[in-house]
Amino acid sequence: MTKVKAAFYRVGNSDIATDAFLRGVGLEPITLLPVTTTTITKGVFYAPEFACFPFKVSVGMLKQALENGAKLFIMLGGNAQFTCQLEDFAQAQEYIMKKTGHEFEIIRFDSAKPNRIVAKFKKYNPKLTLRQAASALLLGRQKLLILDRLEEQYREIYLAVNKRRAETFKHRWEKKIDEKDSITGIYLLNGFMKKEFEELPKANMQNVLKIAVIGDVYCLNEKAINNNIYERLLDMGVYVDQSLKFSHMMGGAIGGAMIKSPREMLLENESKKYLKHNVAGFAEHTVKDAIRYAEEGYDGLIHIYPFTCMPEITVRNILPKLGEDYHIPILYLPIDEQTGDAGFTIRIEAFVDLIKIRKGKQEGKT
Amino acid sequence: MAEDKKLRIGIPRALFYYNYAPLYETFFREIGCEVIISEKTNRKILSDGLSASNNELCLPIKLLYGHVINLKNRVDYIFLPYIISTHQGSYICPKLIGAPDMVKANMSVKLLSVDIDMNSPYSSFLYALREIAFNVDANPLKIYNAYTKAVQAQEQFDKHIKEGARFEDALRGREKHVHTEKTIAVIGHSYTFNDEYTSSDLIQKLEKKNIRIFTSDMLTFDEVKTILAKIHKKTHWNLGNRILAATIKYSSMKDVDGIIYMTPFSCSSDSLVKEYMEVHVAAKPFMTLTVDEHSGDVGVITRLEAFLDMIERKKIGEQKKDVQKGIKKNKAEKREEEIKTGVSS
Repeated sequence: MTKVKAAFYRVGNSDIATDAFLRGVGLEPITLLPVTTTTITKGVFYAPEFACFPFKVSVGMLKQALENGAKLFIMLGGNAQFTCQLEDFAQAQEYIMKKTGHEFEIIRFDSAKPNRIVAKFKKYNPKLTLRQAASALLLGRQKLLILDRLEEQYREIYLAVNKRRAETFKHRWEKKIDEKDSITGIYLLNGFMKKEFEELPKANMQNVLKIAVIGDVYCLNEKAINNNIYERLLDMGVYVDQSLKFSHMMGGAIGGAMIKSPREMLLENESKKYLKHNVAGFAEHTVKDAIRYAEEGYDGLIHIYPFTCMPEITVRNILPKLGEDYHIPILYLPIDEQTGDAGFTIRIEAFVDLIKIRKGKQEGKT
Repeated sequence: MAEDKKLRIGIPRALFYYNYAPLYETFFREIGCEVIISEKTNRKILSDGLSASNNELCLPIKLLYGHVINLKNRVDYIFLPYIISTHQGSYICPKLIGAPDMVKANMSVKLLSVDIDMNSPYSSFLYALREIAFNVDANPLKIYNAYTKAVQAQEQFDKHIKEGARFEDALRGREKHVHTEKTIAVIGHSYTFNDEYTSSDLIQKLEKKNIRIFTSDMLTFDEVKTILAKIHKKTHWNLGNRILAATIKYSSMKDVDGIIYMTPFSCSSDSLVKEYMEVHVAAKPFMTLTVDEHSGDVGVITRLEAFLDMIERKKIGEQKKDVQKGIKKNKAEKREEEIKTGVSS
């Protein structure tokens, strides 16, 4: 029996983890290409005008997957309180693409319970067992976490050594992670990766500007959408931190309970002053992270969000007050299909220059 | 001074005012407050709202800013609740939930805010309003009486709305006159098509042309639920569900001639609802009117007239078709008769 060809929604380099999951449940993965202008153009062509930008991109992604022969598309979905419109994405995508005459099926990936996974995928792989599903989920999860760690280390090497070294490091380890298909293998890789990373020289953090990028989780993780904002900042010699990783988005989609540390609870209380209810999506996280970074002594924040994103626009209207209260400069960058490369760079450069001047003045005073 | 000055509470004429106006008004009046409602939307309110807000916001929230500015200096408190969900299992748009927070962050106003969340265990309007009432008057009996009166007023209002009264008429308890010529369904958020300034007074324009109007507000919540249960689909937006159900209901009704769908510019929740609508809607003349701060009166009139003409033409065409069908039928019958008689004779 031939395996069903399936594609999983891709954010950044998450395809490494999701393809491992698909192989685990006995489907043939079709690796989606990274997001390019073609994807965006296709998505914008089919999607409704005022739908948020991530939705438009996801429609383009689906179209591309179907052109490559996928018969099954797995889309994230989930609880409304965690993920805003993501719950409706799969349904709307199905309607839009069926209109164009494609034959396919779509699965809403909204739970990480093995029995639910078996129930959903049984139709495409009748031999699927509970054990198989559980190990596929665990493998996918481990790969996601190690990829997040790799990204962090990549940025530190980028800042401390140079671009080339960082990129070779990243590509080499990505390949190794992709090849390993066992959970213990990933555990071991994690140790080796850490060892190699620690042998590399570290950056001198004394005179380095620190900027955190906060905002919509999709924009933070998809490099084609945020115009490589991290590399741009790193090129200017700025230390960058990213507030939400793809694993957070996954966590929101599958509705996993997040264990809160006492510090996080304190932050939550603080953020309630600005945003009383978690309106939807990651709005609460954005406010919380803004406060956390301000308290940790970051020099500036960049708030990045898609045009017509409802939760992030709510936050965008609250952040100016927060910035005033915590004395932290914030740059707002809305993103849509018309965002240009040059305008983006100019704004970031100007912002970094301003922060530099501000920091110099503050140090001069003390 | 024996006579204390009454506490003045302002209610902005925006967002959910159009759904719960009698409830709020009666309640505050009964517990002994002076209720001031902001003026009807006009050019000044709109421009105030625009200048106070960030330009990525949607029009209804910008208008809310304008109405709050309008009230700011005239009242002690502005009543603006956090409405998280009005019915179990669904949510209001994130921007509307966060509206009081946004107002608080951008303007120095005293807000009276309570949580109205039907998904939480302590969920009722009484529980929510009680919180506020205790700050004003601590007599529980009075609060309860005020609440029952407010609910009565709201039920009366809902009844009128359900029968098809305009917002203003329902508020004053006036009955609606009967129109005959055509029937048009107006679908959208109640705060969009009830606002006379931003909707270019669409409803009155239609009524002047002797047209009967069905609005999406006329559906009760149970009706929405049953309609959506039939198609096994629902969006998780409270208002989106209503729009979807209204479109399905009116498009399958025979005496509805056309549907006008009014949506504010850059409404993200509506955009996906529209995809749902396209699938489940039967063929009917359909017009989407997108309103924003720049939409003029003239543009709306032109489009409306064109739409009405189209409906007229369609009607005439259908009548012609019917006539032709009738003629054909008659001919066929005659021929059959002839054949029969021919055979018999």
